[in-house]
Amino acid sequence: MSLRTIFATTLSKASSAVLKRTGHGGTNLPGRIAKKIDPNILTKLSKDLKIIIVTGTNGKTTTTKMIAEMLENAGVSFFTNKSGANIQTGIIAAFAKNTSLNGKVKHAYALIECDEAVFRQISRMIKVDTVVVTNIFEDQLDRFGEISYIKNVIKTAIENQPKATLCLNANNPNVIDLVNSKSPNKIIWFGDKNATKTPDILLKKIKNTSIDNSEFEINTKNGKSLSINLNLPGEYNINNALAALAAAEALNIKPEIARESLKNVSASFGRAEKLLLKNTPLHFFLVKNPAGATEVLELIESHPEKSKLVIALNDRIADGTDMSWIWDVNFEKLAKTSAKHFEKIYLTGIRSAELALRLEYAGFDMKKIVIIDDYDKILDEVSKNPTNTHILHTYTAMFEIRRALAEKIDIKGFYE
Amino acid sequence: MNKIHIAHIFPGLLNCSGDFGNLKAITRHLEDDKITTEIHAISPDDDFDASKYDFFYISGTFDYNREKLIPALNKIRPELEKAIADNKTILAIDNGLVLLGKYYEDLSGKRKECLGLLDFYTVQGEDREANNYLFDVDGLKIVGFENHAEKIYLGENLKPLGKVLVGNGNNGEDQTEGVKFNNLFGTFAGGPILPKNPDFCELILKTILSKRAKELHFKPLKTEIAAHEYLVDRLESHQTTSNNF
Repeated sequence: MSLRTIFATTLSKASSAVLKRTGHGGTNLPGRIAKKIDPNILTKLSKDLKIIIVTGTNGKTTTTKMIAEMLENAGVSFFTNKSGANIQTGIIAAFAKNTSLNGKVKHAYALIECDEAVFRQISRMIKVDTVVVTNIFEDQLDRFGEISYIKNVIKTAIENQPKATLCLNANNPNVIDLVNSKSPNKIIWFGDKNATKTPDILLKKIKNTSIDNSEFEINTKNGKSLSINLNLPGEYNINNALAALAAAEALNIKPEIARESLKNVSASFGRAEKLLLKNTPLHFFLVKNPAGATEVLELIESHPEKSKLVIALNDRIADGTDMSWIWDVNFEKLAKTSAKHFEKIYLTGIRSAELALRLEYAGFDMKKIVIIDDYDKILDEVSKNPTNTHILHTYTAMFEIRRALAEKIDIKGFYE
Repeated sequence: MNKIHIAHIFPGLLNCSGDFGNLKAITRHLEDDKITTEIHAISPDDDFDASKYDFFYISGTFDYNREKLIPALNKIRPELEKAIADNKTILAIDNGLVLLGKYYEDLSGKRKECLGLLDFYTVQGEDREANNYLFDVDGLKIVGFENHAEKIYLGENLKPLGKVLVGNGNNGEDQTEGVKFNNLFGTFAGGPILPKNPDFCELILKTILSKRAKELHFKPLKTEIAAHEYLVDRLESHQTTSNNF
């Protein structure tokens, strides 16, 4: 490596270590430092690795975790970028961390969770082996403006990678629009019977679902039938599993290994994550756009045991500053069963007042709803009895709740 | 007839997020006062007779719909013109408002003729302004979320809806926000605007009912007032977005 690249890599590694020791989740600063010193650093650090990119609106983190589990069980050496570090500087930091100072890479694969706009940026700098697009929905109105922007950036990125194998969602028209008959890429489609493109990984039947897991049946690319037990709840996680199974196909991972991985995969930070406070199960769901939030509400509604609902809404830059998306979430449907379903509903976060307004318009019984700013108080309240507590949170609210929770129970840090 | 008829113009094309909340604000407050409502979804193929409706809702749209929308709106232009001249109440938001102006000029300088119903023109800006903002309409404080790169410049014959107190407004230069012409209220405020500005919602409703010689006993919800006051307080301390995490 050139002296410049060595210096940049060293600084990235050093600052990563310092941040970790001082307990900060800030996983993007090291990459920012590295890029300032060597603007071409990503190209240089990535050239000896096979790269898997996971992008899309919802499900990136969970799908990446599933693929990681599969690579691990298949004995493939790889590294992945930490949750939340899916922008360019976070990705650079991950590469720097996994490259030794004499330029040697320690792994065969880089498994990278990548924000959609960032994918376009880095698609000009690296050579990608496999691309997974989970779905494309309306998201981050303040940043993306409209859905055509998201489609265009991913499309451009794909056009920069004609040799990459694409794993695409055959049920999502926006994803289907990313390619056409002239596309040179090998494509593996995943989806169900309603898909307009014939899926190579086909969801045949959902056999069983619960608030913790699900069981379903697929056909693999060569027509083999496989029964899958997934250790995560919700139809949206079944879709993420289909994406991961398509990636397994692209990476020549045996279906049996893929199946075993999905059986054991644990939830990612804040994504259907389950933690126990005293005897109360807390289920964490990250929400950020209408499609994702509506799916989470459907999951909660389909398991109507008496429970508590907590919704924490922030509007910092990382959460998305445009709150109008909550008006497109189907709260009306949940409102109809909310009287019997929820013992109490707690609203918190910076924009709790907007959320209360939204819920009143949706038809919730406002007597069941309370606004509490203090996360400690909410955690104390919900842990008074052992019924399920569903916690919907935006991105920065996730960290705030976790901090409050970490003072009461022993949980892993943000960056694990 | 007791009923208030609402024309929702081209909901399949003019359908930016959050607008469901605006129509809900209108209908629930009227119905709280025992006034029945009916929302009519007007599509481009329909015969449109403006005299049948008391309120017209023209929402925002995405940029890629602009080509389709101009000819479609031109078909109902005569009826819209009648509605405006007849002092019917119209709420036009964001790109929906933009299409009612004289022309739209893109980044390369190319101009596209719009409906020409209102005396303003639009120029595409380089940067999209996306933030909460606060403006004053005849003493009423209005909060909303502006999210547009387009800039509009009002002609001499057109008054703004309000004066920007915090944020950018029509063009970030002259402190104007939106337009007001007869009973047409035009604004860039998303959010949506009506649920969290109960005083403004009341103004719109009273304007609608004035043509039907009806009174309104408007009761704002506590949650509407709280959401409104939270944003007013925050914006008055000049915080358009929350602190960086």
